[in-house]
Amino acid sequence: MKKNFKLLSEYPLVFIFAALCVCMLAGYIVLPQKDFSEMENRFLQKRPSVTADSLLDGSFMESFETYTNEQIPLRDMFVKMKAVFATYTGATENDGIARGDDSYLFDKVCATNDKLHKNISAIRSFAKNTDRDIYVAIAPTSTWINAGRLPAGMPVLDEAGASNELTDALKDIPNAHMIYLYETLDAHKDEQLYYRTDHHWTTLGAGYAYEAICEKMNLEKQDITQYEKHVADDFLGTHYAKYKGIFVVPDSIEYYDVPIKALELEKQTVDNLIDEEKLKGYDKYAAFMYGNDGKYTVRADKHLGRDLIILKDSYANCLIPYLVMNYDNITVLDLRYFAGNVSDVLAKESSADVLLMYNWTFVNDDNHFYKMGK
Amino acid sequence: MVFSSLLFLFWFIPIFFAVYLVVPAKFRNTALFIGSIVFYAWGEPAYLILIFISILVNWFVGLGLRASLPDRPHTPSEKIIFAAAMIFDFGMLVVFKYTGFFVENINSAFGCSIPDPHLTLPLGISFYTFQIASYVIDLYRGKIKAEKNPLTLGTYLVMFPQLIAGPIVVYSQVSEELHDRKITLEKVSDGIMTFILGLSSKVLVANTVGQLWNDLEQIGYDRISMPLAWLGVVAFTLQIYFDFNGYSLMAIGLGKMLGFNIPQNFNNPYVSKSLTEFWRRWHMTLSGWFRDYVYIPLGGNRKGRIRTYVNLLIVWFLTGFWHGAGWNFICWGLFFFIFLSLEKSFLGAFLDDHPHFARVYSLILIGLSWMIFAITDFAKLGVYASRLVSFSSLSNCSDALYYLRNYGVVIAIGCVLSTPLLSKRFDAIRNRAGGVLVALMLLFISVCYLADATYNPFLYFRF
Repeated sequence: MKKNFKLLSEYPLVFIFAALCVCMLAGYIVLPQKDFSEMENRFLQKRPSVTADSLLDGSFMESFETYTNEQIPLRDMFVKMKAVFATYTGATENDGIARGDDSYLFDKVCATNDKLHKNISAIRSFAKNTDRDIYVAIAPTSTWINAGRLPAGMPVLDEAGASNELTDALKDIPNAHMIYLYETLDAHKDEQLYYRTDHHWTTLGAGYAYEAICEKMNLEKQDITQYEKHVADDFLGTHYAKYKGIFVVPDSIEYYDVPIKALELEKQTVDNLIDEEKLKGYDKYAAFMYGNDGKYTVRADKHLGRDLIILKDSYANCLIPYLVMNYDNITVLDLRYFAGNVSDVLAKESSADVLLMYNWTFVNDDNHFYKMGK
Repeated sequence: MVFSSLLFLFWFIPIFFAVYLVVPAKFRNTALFIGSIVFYAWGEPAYLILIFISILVNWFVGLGLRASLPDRPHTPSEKIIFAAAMIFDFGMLVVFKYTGFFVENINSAFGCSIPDPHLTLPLGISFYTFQIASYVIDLYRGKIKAEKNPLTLGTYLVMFPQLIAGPIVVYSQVSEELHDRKITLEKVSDGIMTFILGLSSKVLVANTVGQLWNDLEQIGYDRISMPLAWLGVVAFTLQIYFDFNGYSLMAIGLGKMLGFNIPQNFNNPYVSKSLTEFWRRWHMTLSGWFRDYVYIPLGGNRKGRIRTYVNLLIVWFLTGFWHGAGWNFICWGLFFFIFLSLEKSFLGAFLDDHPHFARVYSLILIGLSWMIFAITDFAKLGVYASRLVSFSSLSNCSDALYYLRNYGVVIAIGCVLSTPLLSKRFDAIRNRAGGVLVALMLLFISVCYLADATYNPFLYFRF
C-alpha cells in the first residue's frame, strides 16, 4: 500500500489520466442519455445499436462516433467552456456566429450557395406558370441590416445584389411583383428590427415589412397597437444556440393579441395565434403560429372579401398577425413540411392573393423551392 | 478512428489499455494486433483485407529470403522473390493511389476515355507500404533476420500508433521491442505527457488556425486582400505543422505507453536556415526513408555532379508524388528540388554567411511551398498568388483585421511554439508538478474543444 502511494506521488499523471479516462467511459455507460440539447436547440444522437448491416457499411461506426461527441458527460459544461476559452483568445466568433456591437450575434456566411440560382429560377417559373398576381417579399438578414454593428472586417455577402438578381429574373413577368424590403427596413435600421440572439426579425421589424406589403398589395394599413401587447423575456435564440459564449444579452419577444376565429393547424384547432406554452421553453420564437406546420389556415372571418395564400418560411410567422387584420382567411404553406401540391391549393383558393414571404438565407440555401412547381 | 477524438480518448484508450495491461506479456502482441485492427476497421472495414494480404505475402517473402547474407551473392531465385515482393508492395500502392490520376491524365493527353474505377485510397497505405518495404529491403540486404511469426510481423505493420499517419518506423528500429518490451510507469507517464502535448497541438492550434484557412477558400481567393492572403499563408503553415507534428507526438506518446520507442518525426522545422536544413527537421522519418532506400541506392552524391542532381530530381519527384496523386504535389516536390539544388551549388554558402537573411528566406519559401501543397487547382493557385502581391487591395484590407482579431492570439502562440524557446523551459518542469498541471489543463481545454468539434479535419487522406 505504502509502495503504491509512493508510485502515485512519483507519477501522478499516469493515475490521473487513467482515472479520468475510466470515469468518462463509466459516465458514458451509466449516465442517462439526453434526447435534446436545450442549450443548442437540437436533437442529440443516442447510443446506436449494432446490426450486421450497419457494421458492414460503416454507419454504426459513424453514428457511434457522433454519439460519443453528443453524449459526453457534462457536455453542456465542456461546450460552454470552449466558447469561453475562444472569447478569451480574442475571438469574436464561435461556431460560425460572430458577436458584434450592442451584443448582436451574427451568422457569418462566407459564400453564396449553389442553390441560390436554382431557387431564383424556381420562383421565376412559379410566377410565370401561375396566371394571377404573385407578390414576392424577401427579408434581409440581420447581418445585412445591422451592417454597422458587425465586427470590423467580417466577411459578408452581397445580399442586396442577389435580391436584385431575383428582381431582374421577375422583371419580364407582368404578374410578378417584387416587394423590396431592403430599402424599407434599411430606413429604420437604428431600431431593433432583429433579435440580438436569433436570426428572425422582431415584431417591430415585421411591422415595417407589413407596411411595405400593404402599399404594394393595395391593403389598408391597420394599426396593430390597438390590441393588447405582451412581452416574453429571456429569449436566447438560434444564434445563441450556436454561439454559446459570454457577454450575451437575452432578447424580449413582443406580440399582440390579434383576435381570430380559428387557427386550423394540422393536428389541432385553436383560437389564438400564439402558443403561450412555447414562451416558457427555450425555443420561444416557435410560439408564433404554433411553429411551422406544413399547411394551416387562419380564419378571421371579418367579411372583408379578401383571402390570402402565403408560401413562406419562419419569418412569416410573426408577420401573419399583422396580415390577419386585412384578410378573412389566410392559407399558409411551408414547403419544407407541406406534402401536398401547391397547384391544388391555388386552384381551390382561386381568388386569393398570393404572397411569397422568404428571408434571404432561405432563398440562398433551402432545397424545397422545387416543390412550387408541384 | 483518429487520435484526436472523444471516441479514441474515452472509449478506445481505457478499454484497449485495460486489456493490454492485464493479458500476460506473451499475448501483448495479439492484443495490440487485434486492437489495431479494430482501430483501423472503425473507419475502413473493407480495406482490412489489403492489410492482411500484405502481411501474409511479405511474411512468406521473408521466409524465402531468410538465407541471404551480405558476404554471399543472392541466388537468382532470391532475386526473383525480392523483385516480385517489391512489385507487389509498390504495385498495391500505385494501383490504389494513382490509378485515377493516370487514367485522367492519359485520357486528357490522348483523348481516349478509359473509365476511372474511382478507387478510394485505403487509409494509411502510403505509410504501411513504406514500412513493409523497409522490412523486405533490409532483409534482402542482410541487415535483419526474417520474422518467423506472422503475428509479430502483422503487429509491426498495423500497430495503431503509426498505422495511418506515421511516423514511418522501419522494422529494424522496433524488431527488438516487438519481441520483448518493458512497460514501466516512467515510460507510460512520459508517453501520456507526449500524447497530451500532441493532442493539444492538433486540437487547439491546428484545428483553430485551420478554420481561418478554410474560411479563405469559402470567401473565394479573388475576394481577399493582400494582408489576409499572407495571413492565410501563416495560418496554413502553422496548421500543417501542428497537425502533423501533433499527430506524430500522439503516436510517439502512445508508442511509449505500449513499450515502443517510435522515432522523432519533427525537430523545430521552422527555425531552419535553409530548405536543406528544413528537410532534415521536417517529417524526418520520411526523408530518412527516401535517403536510405532511394537516394543512397541510386548512388547518392558519390557518382559525380550530374548523377547527384539527377538523383535529387528523382527523390524530390517521388517525395512530391508520395504526398498525393496530383500535379500540384509533383510541383511541390520539384519546388524543393530546385531550391535544394541551388543551395547545394552556391546558395548554401551564401546562406551560411547571412543567417538572418537565411531565416527569412527559408520561412517565406516554406510558406509559399505550402500554398502549392494546399491549393490543388492551378487556376486557384494563380489567383491566390496574385492576391499575395495585390498592393491595390491595401486600401481596403479590413478583412485581415477581422481574422487577426479572431486568430491573432492562437497564431502568436503557434509561432512561439514553432521555436524551441518555450519547449526548452517546459522540458525543465516536464516531470514535476508544474508540468503535470500544464498537461492536465491542456487536456481539459482539448476535451472542451473536442466536445464542440465542428471542425476536426484529417489532413492525410491523400497520403
